[in-house]
This record gives sequence, C-alpha cells and structure tokens, in this order.
Amino acid sequence: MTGKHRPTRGERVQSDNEVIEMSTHAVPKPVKIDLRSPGIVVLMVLSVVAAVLVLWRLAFGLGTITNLDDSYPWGVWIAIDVASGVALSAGGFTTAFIAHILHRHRYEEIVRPALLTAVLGYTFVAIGVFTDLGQYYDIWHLMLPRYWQPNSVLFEVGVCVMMYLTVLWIEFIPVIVERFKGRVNLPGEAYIFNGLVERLLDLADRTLSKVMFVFVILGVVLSCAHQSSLGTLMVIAPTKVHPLWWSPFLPLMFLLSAFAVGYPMVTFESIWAHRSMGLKTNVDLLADLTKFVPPTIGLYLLVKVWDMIHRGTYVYLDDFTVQSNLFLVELIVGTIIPLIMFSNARIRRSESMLFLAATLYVVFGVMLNRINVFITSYSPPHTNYPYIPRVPEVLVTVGYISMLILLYRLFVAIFPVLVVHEQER
Amino acid sequence: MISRRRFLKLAGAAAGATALESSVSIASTERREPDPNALGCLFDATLCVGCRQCEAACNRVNELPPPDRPFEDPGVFREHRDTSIRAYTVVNRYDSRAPDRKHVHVKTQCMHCVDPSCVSACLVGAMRKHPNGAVTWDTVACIGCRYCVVACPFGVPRYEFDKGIEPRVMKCTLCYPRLEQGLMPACAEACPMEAIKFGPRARLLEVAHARLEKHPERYVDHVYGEREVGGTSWLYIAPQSFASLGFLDLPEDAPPRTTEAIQHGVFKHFAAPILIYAGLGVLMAKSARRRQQEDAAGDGEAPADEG
Amino acid sequence: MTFARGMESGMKAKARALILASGTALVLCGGCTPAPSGNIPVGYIAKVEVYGDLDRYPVRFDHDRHTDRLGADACASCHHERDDSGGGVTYVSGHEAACETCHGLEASNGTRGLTEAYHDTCLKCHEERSEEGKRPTGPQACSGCHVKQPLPDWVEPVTFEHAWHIPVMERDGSCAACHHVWDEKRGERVYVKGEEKACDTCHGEPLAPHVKTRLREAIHGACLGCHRKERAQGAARTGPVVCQGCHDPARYPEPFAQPSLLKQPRFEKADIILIGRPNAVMPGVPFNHKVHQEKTPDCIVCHTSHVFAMADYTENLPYLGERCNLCHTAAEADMSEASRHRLSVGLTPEAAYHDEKAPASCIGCHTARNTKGPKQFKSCSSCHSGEKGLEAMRKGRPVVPETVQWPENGPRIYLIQELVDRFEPVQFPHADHQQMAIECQVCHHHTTPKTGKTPRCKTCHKSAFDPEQPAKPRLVGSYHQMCLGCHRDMGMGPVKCLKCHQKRSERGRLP
Repeated sequence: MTGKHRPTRGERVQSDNEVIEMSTHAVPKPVKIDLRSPGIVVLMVLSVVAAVLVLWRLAFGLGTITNLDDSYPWGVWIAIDVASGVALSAGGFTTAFIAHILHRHRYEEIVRPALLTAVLGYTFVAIGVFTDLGQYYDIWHLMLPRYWQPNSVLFEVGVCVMMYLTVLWIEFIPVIVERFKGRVNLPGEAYIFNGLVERLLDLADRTLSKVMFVFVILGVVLSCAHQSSLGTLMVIAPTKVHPLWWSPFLPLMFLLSAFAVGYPMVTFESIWAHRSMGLKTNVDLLADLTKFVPPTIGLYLLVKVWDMIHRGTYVYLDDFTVQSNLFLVELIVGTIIPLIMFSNARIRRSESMLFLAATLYVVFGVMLNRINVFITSYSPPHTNYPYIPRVPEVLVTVGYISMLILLYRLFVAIFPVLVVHEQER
Repeated sequence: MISRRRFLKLAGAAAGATALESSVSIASTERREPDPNALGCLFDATLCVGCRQCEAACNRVNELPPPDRPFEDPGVFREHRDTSIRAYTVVNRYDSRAPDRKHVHVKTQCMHCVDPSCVSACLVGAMRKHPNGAVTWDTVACIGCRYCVVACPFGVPRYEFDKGIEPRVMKCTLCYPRLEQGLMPACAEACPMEAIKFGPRARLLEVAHARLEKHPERYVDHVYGEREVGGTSWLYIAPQSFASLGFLDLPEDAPPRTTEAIQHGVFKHFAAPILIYAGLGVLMAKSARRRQQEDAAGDGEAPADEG
Repeated sequence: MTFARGMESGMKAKARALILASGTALVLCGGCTPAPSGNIPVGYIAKVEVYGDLDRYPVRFDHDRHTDRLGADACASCHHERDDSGGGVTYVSGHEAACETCHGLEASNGTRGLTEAYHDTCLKCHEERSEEGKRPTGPQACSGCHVKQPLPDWVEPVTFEHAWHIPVMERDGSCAACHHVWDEKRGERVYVKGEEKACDTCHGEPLAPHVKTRLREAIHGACLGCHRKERAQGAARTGPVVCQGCHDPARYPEPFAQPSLLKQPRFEKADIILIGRPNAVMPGVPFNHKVHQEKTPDCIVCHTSHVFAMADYTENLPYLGERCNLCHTAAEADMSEASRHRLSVGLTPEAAYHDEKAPASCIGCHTARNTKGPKQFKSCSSCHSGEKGLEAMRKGRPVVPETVQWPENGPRIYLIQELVDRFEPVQFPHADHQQMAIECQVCHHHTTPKTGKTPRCKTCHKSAFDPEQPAKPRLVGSYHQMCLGCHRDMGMGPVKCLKCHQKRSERGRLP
C-alpha cells in the first residue's frame, strides 16, 4: 500500500475518536503461531530460569544473585529492565501521536503492535522495578499520599509510570473487546459469568469509545513527563557521574531520544516479529514511517553536541578510557550512523538495511545510552573496581525479555493485533 | 452542550494563562539556609589520636554487631576503611606531612547535610531532615529503591544487600533518639580528646574559625563542611590539605537545588503538562477536521463545519 | 682566578672535560631514574621470592666490604648450615648457600625466620662493634640498611662548575681528588693525565673490581671532604657544605662565606638567646650559646643533620649552622624541603629539645647519660625561666627560677575519678608535676595568686556540653588535651591510654 490512504466509500468511518478500519484485507487479526519451534523452547527455558532466580532473590536478598553493593546500588536491572524498557516502549505513544492525534491513518496498522509492545514493555518495567526493590512488598507505598515526597525525581517517575501503565492497558481494552465481545466463552464451570463478562465488555466498548481520546492524549503527556524524568534521575549525583554524560539537560536529551527511538523500535520489532513468525513485513509503511526519524535523531544529536560544547566536556573524548570509548560508540555507531542511514530513502526501503539501522539506533543509540548514564558513567568515591553484573543477574534480565517475547507471541496469537498481508510458510 | 472542540479550546486557553503566571526556568532555586537551631559536630583532626572510642560507643548505642577486630587493635589502620552496614562511623589513619605528629586521624560518618541529596531523592519520604539537623531513615516508608545511595555525594548510606526481608539503610543518625532526650551523640560524648565538639552548628562554625585564626600554623585555613554541597552539619578542621586526608573535593552547589529546579520548574502548577495536553487536544481536533474535509472533498460533498 | 693557563694548553681537552664533567654531574645526580618496580639493583637484598611485596626498601649489602673488614672468620656468621648432628650451626667452606635456602618466611623447626635471621646477624654485629668502639659500625637504624632508592625528589641535579675548580685544584691540591686511577703498586689514588674519566666509570654500578666506594659516597666524600677541610682551616670562602649549596644553588648561591653563627644578624646578643615561641605554655629557655660552643668538641653534636637519604655517605654531614627549628617546626609551610621528606619520625621543636635519648637534645645531654654535662636538670623551671632568667643570664647572675609557694601545695597523688566508666581512676602524681611546673597556672589556668584558691578542673569544665560556651572543652576533653598535649609535644610522658588508666570490665553505665 503506497500513498496516502483515504477511507473510501464502503468503509466504516466513525468519529475521529475511534479506530478506523482499513480496507478489508488489512484488518488486524490473531495470528497462528507454532508453539513448538526451538526458539520458543529456548525462550521458555530462559523464562523459567529467570523466574527461579527471582524467587531466590526475593527470599534471600539482592546481594545473593547480583553484584550490586554500596558502591554500585543500581545495575543492570535498573539500566536495562527499567530505563531501557521505558525508552524502548516509546513506540506506544509516538505511534499513537501520529496515528490518532495527527490522524495519519495510513499508519494505523502499526499502532496496535506498538501498543502491545508498550503494554508488555511497561508491565515488565514494573516487574523489573519490583524485582529490584529491596522492600518489594512495599511497592504499593507510592499509591498512598502519606508516603509521597514530591521533591524526588523518582517519585515523579514512579507515579507517572504507574499512571501510564494504567493508561496503556486502558488503551488496550478495545483490542480485548474486539476479540471477545459477543464471543465470551469462559471455560468449565466459569460459564455462569459469561453474561457478566459480556456486559462488562459492552460497557467498556461504549464508554471507552467516547473518552479514548482523553487517554490517548494523556498517554503522550505522561510519556513526555516520565521519559524526561528518567533522565533527571542521575542529575542528583553530579560528582559521581562522568562529565561526558552528566548535564542539567539530561531530561531533555532523554526525552528527545525517546521521541527518536519510537519508530525505529516499532520497525525493529515489526520486522523481527513478522520474520520470526513467517509473515511478510510491510516495508513500504515502515519506510514511510521512518522518514520522520532523521529530524528527531538530528535534534537529539544537536542538543547533545551543543551541551558537550557548552560544558566543554569534549576534552574527554580522546581519553581512551572505557567510559570515553563507550561514549564514542554511543555517539558514532549508535547515533550518527543510524541518522545517516535513516536519511537515505533507498536504505529505508530495504528491509535488511532498515532493520540494521533500527537495530543500531535501538541498541547502541538508546539502550547503550541508558546503560552508559546509569552504569558506565557512575564512579562512586573510594571505589577502585568497576561494576560487572553477575551471570544470574544478566539471566534475569534476559529471562524477562524472553517472557516479554513469549507474551507478545501469545497476545498476537489471541488478539487482533497484527495486520497480515501475506502469510509466508 | 459545549462542543468538544470548544471545550478543548477553552481548556487550552486556561492552561496557557496559568502557564504565563508561573515562571518556568531551569536555573537553580535559592540556596537553602540551615535551621538556626540545628545542631552539628566539629571534628578537629589535630586532636584525634585514633583511639576509636567513638566507634566503640556508636557500636554500643546502635546495637550493631561486634567488629571483626577489637576497637583497640591499631592494625585496622593499615587499610582504608569505609562505613558499612555494621559500622556507622570509622576512623582512618593518614600519613602526616608535619614532623610534630606521625599520623593524622579522621573520622567519617554521615555528614547530615544542610540540604541533603538523599532526602530530596527519597520518593517515599523515608529519609528526613529534622529541625535539629539530623538526617534519619525510616524503615516503615522505605521501599528499598536505593536512590539515596545513588544520590549521596559522600557515599554514606549502606544497604543490607544480603537480606531478603526488611533490608535496611544503615547510616549514622546523629543519635537522634539521644538528641530527643537532650543527650549528646555517643561518639561526641565518648571522645577523650574532645576532638568531636558537639553543639549548635552556628556556634561551632564560630569556634572553628576562632581556632583557625588563633593557630594558623596548626591548621589549613578551611572549614570543610561549611559550604560543601550546600553545607553539612559535620564540620572539619585539619592540619594538612583535606585531599590528603581522604576528603572529597565537592562543589558548593547542593545537587537537590538543580533537580528540584528542573522538577518543580517543569511541573509548576502542572502548567506544562496541562499546556501540552491542551495543545495536543487542539492538534487532534484540527487534524480530525482537516481529515473530514479531505474526505468530504474526495467524496464531492461539502465539508462539514462545526462552526 | 685565571683561565690563562687553561687557555694555553689543550683548550679543547679542557673544554671536553668541562662538558664531560658538567654533563656527567648532571647525569649522575639527575639521572638516577627510579628502579622499575621488581628490578632490584645489584648489591641489594630484597628476596622478593620469599616476601612477595616488600614493606621496606631493599637492603643495600656490600658483600666485599664485609669480607674485607671481617676476614675469613666472619664467613660463618652468615654462611652456616646445620651440622648433621642436628645441633648448632657450623660453617662449611664451599657450601655458602643463600640465606633463604633454610630460613623461610616464618620460623620453623628451630630455624629462625628470614627477617629474624637477617636482623639477628646483621644488627647484632653492628651493635657489638658500636659497643666495642670499632669504626665504622655499620648501620643500626632501619634506614641505614633499607636504603631508599632513588634519590629523594627534593634533591636537584647538581651543576658542577668544572672550569672553576681546575685552577683551584691545581693550585691547592691535585686533580687526583676527582680524577684518579688506582695504583695497585703504591696502593693509592694517582692522577694520570689524559685518563680523566667520569666518576661513574669506576664508581658506577656495577663497581669496578678494585673500587670500594659507591658513587654517592665517592662524590660527596670528594666534594664535601674538601670543602669541610677548608672550612676547618678557617678559609674565608669555601665551597658549599650544606645540601642545598650544591643541590639548590638558586637559594644558596655558592661559594659563600663561612657563616658565623655569632655574627648572624638575627641574634643581637648571639651568645645568649631565648629559645621559645609566642603563645607557648612554658616560658622560654635562656641559652648561653657561647658557653656551649666552648664546651662541646664539635658543632656537629647539636647541629646535626639527620638526613638518612645519604645513607651511602657514612659520615655525618657537617653542620648546617642553622637553628634546630629550621627542620623541626610545627608548621608545614616553614619546613625545609629536607624535613618534609623525612624518613624517620619527625619531632616538634619541643620533642627535639626534650628527647631523652638523643645526644643532640638538651635533656639528652643534661641527664645521667652524659656524665660530663651539668646535672642541673631538676625540674622544668630549671631551664624554663623565661625573660627573668634571660636577664639574669645576661648579667652573669645565677638563674633562679621563680617558684610559687602555696600554703597548701596540693596532694602528692591525686585520684582523678570523676569520669570513671570504661577506665579505672587515674593516679595522678600531682607533687611530681608540681615540681616540674613553674606556676600552677600551667594547668590550673585560672588560679589567682592573691586568693590562693586553686580550682579543680571540674569546677569549670563540666561533663555535659555547655551551649553557651561551645569553645570550652568538657571535662574529659580538658584532662586529655592538657595531659596529652604536653606529653605529645615534648615527647616525654605517657601517651597510651593504658599507661594512665587501666580498663574496667564491661559494667557501669553506658555513655
């Protein structure tokens, strides 16, 4: 499908607040997946391992399976599970922005996959936070006003993420409704609740259809708030964060990189998901979507470079320490090269090159940036050793990602999320 | 019944008006002044002999587990020690640069900052700064996020990483329960040389400067903690450069001023979020209308006009 | 000074020699690059295979010097092995093994540990030689053997004015003082013209076979030996004799006139001075320098320079002619560079003056150890007579310290038990301290003579803190600051906790 799509006669055009269906052959549908592929088995094993490790950690403490200590209180779980997880779920609000706020309905078909990524992503951010908290059983404290300390950046992050997670699930309800309304069939003895569930779904459908716009916009606002506040987190330790990263403008840079990573992340997971399930990717759509990426990466790069010049921290670039080298990787491999690649229309139209560009930005531009800000740049006083995560620690992170992928598959198989153009065997 | 578009327009206008009122700037907010009644301690490094009675008293009063080596064992000075979950305060020995003494001893513990980073960082208010100057941790509120450990510029808070249930943040409390009873902190009371002098912070600063003035040959002309990271309740005077005694070289800006300026600046009166919300709403409405016009034009119908 | 003769003959050779010497001097002193860690220079004992990381510098050990001096009998003192019967040790010629072959890190099976073995063997011998009056004794202090390499960094390279020395040496001595070769037949150093080499050709590492002195010793012996001799002979201008004279010529431009202590402008009446400082607790000490100068054989007795970095140079350096407090000073800013890098325990001026064990200190001399010195030392006030004593001394009158007579002199032993908690009460010898002190105000600093009231410390210094007077120490601080303040400053008197009060068992109230 090329060119601007306009709803043609025969399509159901409802008010601008509702999902507009595409032409009949591009309707989201549940996808059949093969549960016995070796990949699935591996993911399941990793998930189970992670679950066991997490239970052990919950019982016996963080120090038993991680290398976290007083010098390095935050490690891989914060940098990857939480910070990168939030950043890489930015596809949710950026696609909602272009499809529902700007009404570019051409991009409708990637909204739901992005939304699913965001829903699962943020759910696992919450699970990641829960895993990392020393007193995880008190995680609900943040909901009670008597425990609110609004001066804290983390407070704002926590409250915002809580609210946004709720908003995301609310945004996902229409998908559930679409799948089950009129078809509710609870298994076994629970069939007596069929009617109740049916009525609930109907209620949801009717109310949400009127007020969904509130949540869509709220989602964008909340995202802006907490994406930037995640950056503000490390501003409180100027003496412990390497000058290459510390800046009072960290929130702005986090926000801009979140804007920038939305579509590359959507591209990344779209191509990967489709490919691994034997489906054909809509490369043209992605190519058009990613044309918005260069200005966003460009703006981020501009702010980053200006900040570096303004604070004079470019002098550290040729230090050839681990830190300065990783910064260069982040800057060159992770930001400049993808920027160049995304600017090239030919590259955008080639599925493999597009995937490469997206991967480079997602992994080296954003994920590495979050790792750098929270781990690499952190130099506590009186400490002469670096933080290296332990194997169980990494396995938990890998396990959570595996669970996320598995759940994505499951949801995609149950709910109408993906638009299938052609099923390839 | 007000149309949706009109509602959004009005909301946007209201938000805009609110935003204009509030000043949104990323500059640091005002420096926080210490409470005039706040207490503190002055540590004179020329007086400390390294007897570690302060460590012993702290250990006793806080019911901490016994140390690996007894408090009389000077062998502990061979390596640099930090506070830990079992020791709220430690004394370290450094080589002296003056011939009138072999070593200089320095006691470290929580500095009980005037503008504590940990208090600002704690999202559930488990870290609190009391009017008497003490910074304490409350186990009830804490959720164990360790942001306070990240935030502290001195690297003071210690966390019980090897506990699954009720891990605690361990740090000096300035003997807050004793202060409430009108007593001195245990370390100050135990020190035989009175290297630790306890009293109102303002008076201690006077004492410190008086000593520097009276014996310029004995001290380096600087009171550490007077202005570092916005000032601390523990003040230090020393016979040689602070850097040679393991002190950190910290700026005078208190880090919470920057983060709180960003946070409160951006979220003041919720102006920015409301503004963005309203802006997006307007954008959404306008895009929808343009879309409908294009559709209608494509169908040959007259564009619907909501007026 | 004439260069004329030099100009005539072999100017090229002279110039070459000059360049060589200057350059060599620079290289010799400035080029002592630090031995890379792990590289033990030749002639040093380190035994890293036994000790691993070293706590101290490697020990400089000149084996030849020991065999030369001690003769064949001495082999057994180091090279021994257990005889087969299992008892004692015997020397077996040809079986000289390295010490660590049998002496491991720790003692075992009746065999001493390596460190113990070394110290027993080396230091005991040196001590014995010292007692028997044999010279040289060999080092007896740690840093005498554990020599620091390389040069301390306060020692600047020396720029040696060769051209200036040539006419001087030719006039006064001969070039052999520096440029010599060893004449086997005559058994002495001779000058062979045309064979002038740089010093380290023979004296550098490794030493040439016949050479007995190492480079540092050789240079300092040659240079300073000459300069000292000149000074002893009363020459008006000599070469430098202080470290800085060669190593920091900017501050001490040389050659300079022999300083006469008595003519120093800072001493008006240079023979009788008051040793003291403002704000001191004790009054100053009047000191008759002239009398001491006449009575002591060598200025070096008092004005000693303890520079252990010159361990190679076995003789004491000549006196600096400076006051004690040039190096022994309380303020870092006033310290000389040398003192700042001291390798031994530093001393305050007070400690330096009062050190009982040092021959160069007042008390060290005026005590029973030195039977020749005056035994006037009875109490502090014997010396600390202040301005009044200075007046008396200048007028040639006997110095009578003013003592205060009180109707009630206080107890002989005062039991300090106000703060008994973790420690037992202190048995304070009040009468002894009373004798030492000049006036009660030294401790009871608000005693008024008129009323005769001597308040006890606890009268004013309370146990609890006083927010009204934060500067005033509490009772516990007052005691310790008063007692330890004096004891630490002077280097005399108990400073360890248990020397004054015993520990109590765990009982009694918590603080």
